[in-house]
Amino acid sequence: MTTAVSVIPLNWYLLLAAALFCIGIYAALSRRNAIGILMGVELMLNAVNLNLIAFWRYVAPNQLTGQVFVLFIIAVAAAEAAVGLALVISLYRQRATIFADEVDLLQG
Amino acid sequence: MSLDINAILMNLSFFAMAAVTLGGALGVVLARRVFHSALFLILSFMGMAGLYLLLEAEFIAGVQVMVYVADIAVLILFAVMLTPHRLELKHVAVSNQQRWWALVAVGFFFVLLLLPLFAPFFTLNLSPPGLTPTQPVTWQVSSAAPVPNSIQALGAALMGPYVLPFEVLGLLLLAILVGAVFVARDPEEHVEEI
Repeated sequence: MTTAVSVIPLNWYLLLAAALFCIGIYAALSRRNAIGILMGVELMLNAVNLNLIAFWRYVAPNQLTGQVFVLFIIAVAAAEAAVGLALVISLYRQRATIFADEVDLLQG
Repeated sequence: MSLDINAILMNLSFFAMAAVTLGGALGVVLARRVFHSALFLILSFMGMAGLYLLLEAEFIAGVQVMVYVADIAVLILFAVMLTPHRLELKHVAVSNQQRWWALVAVGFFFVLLLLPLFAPFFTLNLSPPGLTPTQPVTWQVSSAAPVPNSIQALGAALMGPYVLPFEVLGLLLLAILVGAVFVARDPEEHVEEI
């Protein structure tokens, strides 16, 4: 019987996750907009989740550890997004900008 | 395996989902307006949910759609609309000055990530002298069937062996809820005494 696991090698998922992670890093490093930086962080978290699920399915499919781990990561990512966006809104209230390179309060 | 229609369909669906996910991610980086970036992010999340379905993690796919698409992406759209900014102007730069160096660094990092995946094609020996040369990483792919009835099993696991992290996570979410409201409130606004 043909299953997706027997047809698609694990390395393809890892390759895709690596590419997504790199795109996320680039977004976090190069965007001036603080919301854009947060989007990059979300992409990186998603790439890690994809890695975990792929490893779960291919290496240890008869245990639940991989899925539980991903559930926790998704919950923490939601919390991170909520606090990050609250910070962006607060920043906009105080300085009327959301460009990360214009916030130089600690630069001295 | 000559013309196996199932295999072809699975390959096709993998590549379609991968293309949607990667295209959405690239759109996040390349879109000029941050609103468009957020919409591309939703596209990328949906592609990821499709990949989870292909990996037979149905519950995770549902959670992905409900949490990422319905929660985080909408939160991001709210934040975009609550902070009117000058990005719409054509002469305001979207990226900062370190973007080319960031591109170089990220490209190097990507190559480093690829090395263990395709080590047979690279003859680089990255190990320090005295150690055995780098071997291609192989994982023991298990042929076992995934956990049957996985939603039920997940619920039992969250209430069984993982109950402590589960409760801590609930506490964290409560703290985050209060903290986000506190951080995002208007400091000038005074609540009237009743």
